[in-house]
Amino acid sequence: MSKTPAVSVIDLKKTYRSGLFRRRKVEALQGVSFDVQPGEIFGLLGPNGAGKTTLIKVLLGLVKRSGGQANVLDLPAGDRRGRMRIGYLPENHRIPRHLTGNTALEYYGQLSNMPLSEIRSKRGELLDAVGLGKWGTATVASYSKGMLQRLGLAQAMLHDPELLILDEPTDGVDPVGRAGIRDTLFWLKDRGKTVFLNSHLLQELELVCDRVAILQKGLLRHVGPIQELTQAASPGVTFGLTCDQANLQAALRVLDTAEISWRPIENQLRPTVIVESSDQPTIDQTVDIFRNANVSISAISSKQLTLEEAFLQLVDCDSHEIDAVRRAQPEGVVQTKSEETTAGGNS
Amino acid sequence: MRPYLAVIRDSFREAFATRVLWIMLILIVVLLGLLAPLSFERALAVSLQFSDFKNPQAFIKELRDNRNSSGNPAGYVWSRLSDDFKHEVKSVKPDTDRRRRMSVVGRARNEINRLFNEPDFYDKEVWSDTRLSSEANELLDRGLTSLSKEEARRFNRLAFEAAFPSHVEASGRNAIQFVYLRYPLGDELPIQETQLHQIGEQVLSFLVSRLVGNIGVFIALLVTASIVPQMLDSGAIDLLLSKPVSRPLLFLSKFFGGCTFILLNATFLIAGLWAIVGWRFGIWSEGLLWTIPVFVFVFAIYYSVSTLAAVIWRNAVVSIVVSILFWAICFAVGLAKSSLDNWFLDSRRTANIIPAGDTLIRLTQTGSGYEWDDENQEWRELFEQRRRGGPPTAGRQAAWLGAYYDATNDRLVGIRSGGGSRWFRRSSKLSIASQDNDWKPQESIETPGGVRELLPTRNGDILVAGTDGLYRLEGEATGPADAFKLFGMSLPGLGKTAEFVRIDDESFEWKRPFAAAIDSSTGRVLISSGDTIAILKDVDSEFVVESSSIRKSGQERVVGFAGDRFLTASQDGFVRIFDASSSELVDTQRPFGNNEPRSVITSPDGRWAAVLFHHRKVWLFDGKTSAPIAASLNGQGDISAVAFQADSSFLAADRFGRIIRYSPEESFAIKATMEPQPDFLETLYTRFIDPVHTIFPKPGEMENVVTWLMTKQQTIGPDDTDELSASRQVIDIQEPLWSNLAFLAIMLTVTSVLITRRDF
Repeated sequence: MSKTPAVSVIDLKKTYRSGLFRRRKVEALQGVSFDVQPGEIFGLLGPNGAGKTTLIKVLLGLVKRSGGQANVLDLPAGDRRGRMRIGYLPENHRIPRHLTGNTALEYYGQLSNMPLSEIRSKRGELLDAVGLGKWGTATVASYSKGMLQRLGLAQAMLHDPELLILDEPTDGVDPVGRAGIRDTLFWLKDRGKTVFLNSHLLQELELVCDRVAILQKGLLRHVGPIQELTQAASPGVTFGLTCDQANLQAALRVLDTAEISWRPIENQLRPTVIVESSDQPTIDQTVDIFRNANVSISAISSKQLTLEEAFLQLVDCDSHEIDAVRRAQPEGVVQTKSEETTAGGNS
Repeated sequence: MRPYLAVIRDSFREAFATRVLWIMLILIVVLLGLLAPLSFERALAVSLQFSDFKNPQAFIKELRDNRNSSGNPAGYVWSRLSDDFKHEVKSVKPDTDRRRRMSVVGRARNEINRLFNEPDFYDKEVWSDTRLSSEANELLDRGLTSLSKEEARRFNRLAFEAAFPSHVEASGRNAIQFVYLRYPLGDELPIQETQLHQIGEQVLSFLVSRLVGNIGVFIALLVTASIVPQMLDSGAIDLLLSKPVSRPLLFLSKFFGGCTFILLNATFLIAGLWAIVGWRFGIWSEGLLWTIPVFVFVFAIYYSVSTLAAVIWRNAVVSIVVSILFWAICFAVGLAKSSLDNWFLDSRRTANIIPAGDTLIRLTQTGSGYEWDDENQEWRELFEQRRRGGPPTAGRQAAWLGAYYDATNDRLVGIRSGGGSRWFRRSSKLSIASQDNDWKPQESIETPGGVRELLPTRNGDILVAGTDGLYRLEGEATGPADAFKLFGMSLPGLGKTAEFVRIDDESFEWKRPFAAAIDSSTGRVLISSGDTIAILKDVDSEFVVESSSIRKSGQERVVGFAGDRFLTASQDGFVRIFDASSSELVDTQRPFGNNEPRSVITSPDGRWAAVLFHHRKVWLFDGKTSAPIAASLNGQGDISAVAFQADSSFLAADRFGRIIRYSPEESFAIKATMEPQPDFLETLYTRFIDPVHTIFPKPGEMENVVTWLMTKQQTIGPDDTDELSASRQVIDIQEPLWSNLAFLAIMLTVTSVLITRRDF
């Protein structure tokens, strides 16, 4: 029996309307579907204006969906019972400056309906965990950006939620702090918590996420494990060759005949060719072709792309398709970053 | 509730942290610290006040007339006045303007007060024919040289009063001297400590409603304007709404957090004021403490507008601007209504209904007269009263006092009120309008000072009663008008063929509060004077006391005969029914709570009586059964005048000129309605302005609630509160309270809905 997803999004749509008689529309989400399984760390990627923050706000009930379905912890998104079990760290959050670390946790803990005594018994340990153990009595006004982020994380964890939704949790945090937050995320995962992460720092996501979803201009471009994404976007295998020019040309002609895609890399000490496939039979066939043509293979390497490279590659190639879809859409529907901003969408 | 209490608690934490609260508390402490040294000391009444003059012009004339005879007090006082002042008095001519004449009166007061400081003011020979009061004699017996400085001044004052009894009121012994850090502030005031309480409450009412109610609310709005916009800031609101809280309750918690913050400040200020006033003046006013919730309520009304603007625009400055605009709109709506009321429409309301033989006359508040034209179904104007500036109703006496129809001489008799304030009242004159002269009023002689009632008699005699006694007009009322004038003002009794002659035996003590009525069938006169109720009867053309009793309440303000009963009504709303022969109390009613009565009207046959109250409701009484009548009158709450016709039909005037005739014999069934077609202004008022005003919030009118809480006054009227017959503005607490509550509820609901539906 499969487990109920922690987050389930089916054909989710959100359209912001603005202007006189609300005639201007901005489609922030255009039918997004994915699941987040309990206990996994799930990353949400996308360029600015992709609809990431809108998606998070729909999950929390801050923004009402225009269509589709969104369930969180088996409850409709925004349900108060669900919010009781969610910890949220918003991007650029503003904890009132008159609060101290301790009183901020008291305030937000009470908003989560926690008794004051319970908050007081937990807050010291929690502040220690996020590296603010000595700052509990200092006012938030004296906190650095990184400290504020860590305090935000602490308030999100305070009521021991099942699901943590963290929007740019490492924003403004120094490398040491980031490592600390990473450790915290793994600690949460170990305790069976689900973490829904939105971040621009792809290296960070790559280090912690089990699966990621990529949003672009309101459309879901990819969802799956990181490895799948990086492999799918891999540039192929590089062959360093030792041979005379005639044999090489003959071998390359055979590759063309076999419909194996390749491209040379210029300015190398020896002839170098990239075969644009990571698939094993193709690599085996390529090795056979080179050897049959008396071309010696002095080096063979397969490059694993980083998440960032894979993301950029995916976003770049998909943008052309998306633009084509946009052009086919009816008049009046616009989708630009500047218009999204004026429409009030924070996607 | 835990999350919402946390939000309210956070409002306080924020207030303390941002120092705003501290600054406000420090300012309040400074204000209270400045007020704390203000106090009073008991003193002897010495200084002459404007209100002590009965007739200042006549007094000055007497001094001037006796300038050459230093053997009497008038000549003696004249001789001791400064040359400058004497010169100024001599320079005043009949055509001198009023302001100059009043300035002379003011100087006269200062000159006399200066004389009181002179140790040799009293001259035994000059005062040889003057009868000094017992208090003065007591001081004299002790020896003038042995008196303290204050006692000597007091003696001079008593001697002065004794010398000019017809011009100057006798003063009470005690007075109050206000001091600040032991330094006296101005002259001592001839008031008792009980009056000090009353005045103190009025001053506090003014301070609280104006300073705290207006300036305080504005400051409170400035201080709290940022609370909701800050809550709605991106990064703050998403953090709050991600918690398991209800959006409307979150908003309401923030709203009440702001209100609680203001409650704290208001409590500190007003409770501080209460403690200081109690400590320094002995005025422990419970009403002052009740103004705290009123103030917070007024703030909440404006704040609800501010928060709605904050939810729409998320900007503190815009919230403040919108709140100010809202205040301006409320002010404009209130002003439109009160302007139409006071300047145009109330002046059309009926102040007196006078059934005059076979015709019906109505007099308006401003003194215009109209006769009902049955054929054209309209009021025909008989005469118009020129308006003397200022709104004609609120706080002013009616232009006519006690007008009635004299059937014997087929004429309308009334007193044209001189108007003016208590201290500068212009003289009132008898006015006669006969049918032969198409009811055009002819001015007759001035009435004696202090006249309050005109008493209609069967034989056509004109009787007036007031705090100076009971008078009958002797001679022809409408003789040649060649009155002697000083400073352009007529002097009573001079140059007329008629005069008012005192007809009571002078044994009765005439004082305020005063009311009188006559039983036209027996000619007996009912007097309520101070705390005494007496019946006077005519014995050989002199009215003597037949019976008298002392009322403990001492507040009977309007009276009337009804058959073998007489009725009195007191300021606190009680109507008491007495047996006319024994003056024993038979029954007590309080038909409309503590609403103040305005007049008691009785039918010519003495059977029916109607008590008209200031909130324009009428209570009816059947003298035959000695029981109240449960009649359903049209326009209850808007009835401005009532009367009985010769056949005892009952007339009640409402709206702007409607009079309905009822038959008391037939359970007050309607017999006729006299109502002209409303004009544009009346239609505009009744169809638009009044309904809009009714449903519109009235935060400004909450000042009236403060006045009511502080003074327990039901109405606001002339400064002379003894005169209940004058038109008074009723303090309506209910309507502003309910309309403001409804508005507050609507605003909070709309804001809650908006915040629920909004994407953040």
